[in-house]
Amino acid sequence: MLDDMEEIIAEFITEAEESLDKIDPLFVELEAKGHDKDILNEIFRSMHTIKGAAGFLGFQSIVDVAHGAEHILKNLREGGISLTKQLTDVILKCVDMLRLLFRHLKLKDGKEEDTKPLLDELDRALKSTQSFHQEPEIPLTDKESNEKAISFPPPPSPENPPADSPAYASGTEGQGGIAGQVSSSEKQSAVQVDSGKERVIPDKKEFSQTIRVDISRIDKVMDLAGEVVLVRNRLLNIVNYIEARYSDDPYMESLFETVSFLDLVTSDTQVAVMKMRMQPINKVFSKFPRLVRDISSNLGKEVTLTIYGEGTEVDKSVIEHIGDPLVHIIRNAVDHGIESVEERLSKGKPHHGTIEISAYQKGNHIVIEVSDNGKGIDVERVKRKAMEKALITEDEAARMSENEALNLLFLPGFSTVEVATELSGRGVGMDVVKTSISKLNGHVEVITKKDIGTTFRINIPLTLAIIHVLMVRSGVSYYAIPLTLIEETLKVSKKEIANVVGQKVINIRGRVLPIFELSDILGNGRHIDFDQRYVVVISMGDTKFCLALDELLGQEEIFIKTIKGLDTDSSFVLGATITGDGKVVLVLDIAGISRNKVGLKKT
Amino acid sequence: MIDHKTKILVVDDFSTMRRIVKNVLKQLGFENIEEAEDGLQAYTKLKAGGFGFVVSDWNMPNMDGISFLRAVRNDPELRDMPFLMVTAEAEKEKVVEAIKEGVNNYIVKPFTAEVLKEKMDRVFEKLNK
Repeated sequence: MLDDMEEIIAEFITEAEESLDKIDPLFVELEAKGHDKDILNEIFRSMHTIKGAAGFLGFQSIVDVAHGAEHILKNLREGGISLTKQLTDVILKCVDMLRLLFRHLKLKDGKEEDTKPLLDELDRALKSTQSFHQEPEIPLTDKESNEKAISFPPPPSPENPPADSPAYASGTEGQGGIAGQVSSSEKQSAVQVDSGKERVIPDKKEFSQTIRVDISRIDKVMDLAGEVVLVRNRLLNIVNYIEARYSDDPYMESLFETVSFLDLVTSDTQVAVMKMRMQPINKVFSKFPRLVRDISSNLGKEVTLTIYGEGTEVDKSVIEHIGDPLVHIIRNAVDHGIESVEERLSKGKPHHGTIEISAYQKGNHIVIEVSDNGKGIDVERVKRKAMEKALITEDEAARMSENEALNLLFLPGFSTVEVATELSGRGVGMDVVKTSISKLNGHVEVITKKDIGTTFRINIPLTLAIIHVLMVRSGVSYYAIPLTLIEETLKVSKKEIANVVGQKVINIRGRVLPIFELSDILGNGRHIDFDQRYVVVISMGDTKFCLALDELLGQEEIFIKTIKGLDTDSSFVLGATITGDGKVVLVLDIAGISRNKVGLKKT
Repeated sequence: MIDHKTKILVVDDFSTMRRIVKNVLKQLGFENIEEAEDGLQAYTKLKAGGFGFVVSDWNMPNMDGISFLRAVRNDPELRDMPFLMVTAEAEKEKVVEAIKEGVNNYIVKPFTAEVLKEKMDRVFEKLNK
């Protein structure tokens, strides 16, 4: 029973948080539309439901806050009074407070929030609504006459009704059967049938059949599906080996058949499990209308936000980790990208800026773009800044391409605004954006044009756990490189590798790219001078570089197992996998290599 | 007495609430419980038959509790369905509306198993008279 209770509470928190997430965008919509009964109703209902369930579970502070907000919403809905900024603010504060309270519940940290100031504010706000609109408080006499009219018998001594709870008090009041009511109610319905009152005919025959499943259970299935992939790979290997020996055996064909069927089913299982973890990105996007509203109104800017592709489905881990980087990018766009109204008008631009957020699937990647039509990023200023901070030398700055210069934005300790404003300067820089996205195996690129605007484009692979890799050998060790990051592979002779100011480079069809020995990067190198080197060309957005290694072994579909206790930030290893022939192979963290070896390398 | 095999339909848009109500019903010995997310869904389920009792929330999207009740009472097949309305608002006004529409009883949340049992007993007592 206790476990059951914990489960219910966990479910309550999840569900209530989902309800809260819906409120923010609704409010922004409401502000734009003015009075809209449907929207008000929906917000009211969310608060109402949260309050109801919290009451059952005994979370008094949640009940109090939700009740206050609900009360105001009710007056708004029924009183027809217009929504003032003060009212919006106080209700949004309630939403924030509820979030905080839920977080405490989730963490089970036993912390109490002081809700008193908020409750007082609610009270004042409520009074302001009442001065316009009289609360539909039924006078006691009316109440009594009602009681008589519907002839409730006296409550038959309810068991232990807590006297201090108003809800109980009123519950008790209303207890008792509805004597003598049945016949009159029948009459009522009869009348209604006669009067031909519209009967509600359900037009929605099918309803969504969904169940809530604990994520750990799905992850378990995911894990097992991954194991099946590994077993399948091994089996395929063994079958090839067996086939070579016993090709005449009559059972060989059916073994082949069975294994290829297993192969097919395994792939389908993977896709099915992957889909189970997919959720619409709207879970993240729905927070942005409020964010943009808050920031722009704080800065006195006018910004219109448009969201496209909010139904695009992404892996749950993407939902969890893409929020913060996007918030940062959006903050920057409003704060630094969009100009003030005066500046915009003087440039002949419309007075309100626009920010567009879009998500779409492209091949086996998800692309998320944040575009503003602001002033664009001043590349020269970025370079100057980087020089001041001694991140690059003057010489480097002069030789840098625009794209390279824009990548400086993502270096730790870089910020173009001298005094970080209250909004953008929250101790997180763009380097954190890049790091978070790299952790999702993704990359980010910046496209900017002066006075036209800036676009941040984020690319993330569809799934994280099961990936296609290229198996390679460097020295005596085998490694796996995610295929999505590989542009091409080549075989070059040593002569083609040139040395430019201490950096080895190769020329691929007229494009000069830096090249690194994989064994040098990983620090396990033996320097044997081969005449021929295998080269893997890595492409992460605008960053391109080459890795030189000893052998390419072919593609494989693998399941990444995380390695416990491994510092993935500095080891250049994402995890490990077991290959078809039973070898343990490390999966390389190409994003990490790019960040540490290529990005910062003084060229 | 109520037959504990009675199939009960719990209607609420908030799944936590459905679960809580189901838990309370289970404490009272009812096992045959189904859920619906709103009035529309509930009405469709009721039409499929087999139900002997409805516990419905008031505030719901698509079709709220009172419209659902109205639909049930206006349906010749379902008009006698025992119907218990759950409401958080202890407002007489609204309750009166529900009574006019023919609700058998109502219960104010939060409630305990005992209170629910009493309400249910009373509904069935009335019906068996």
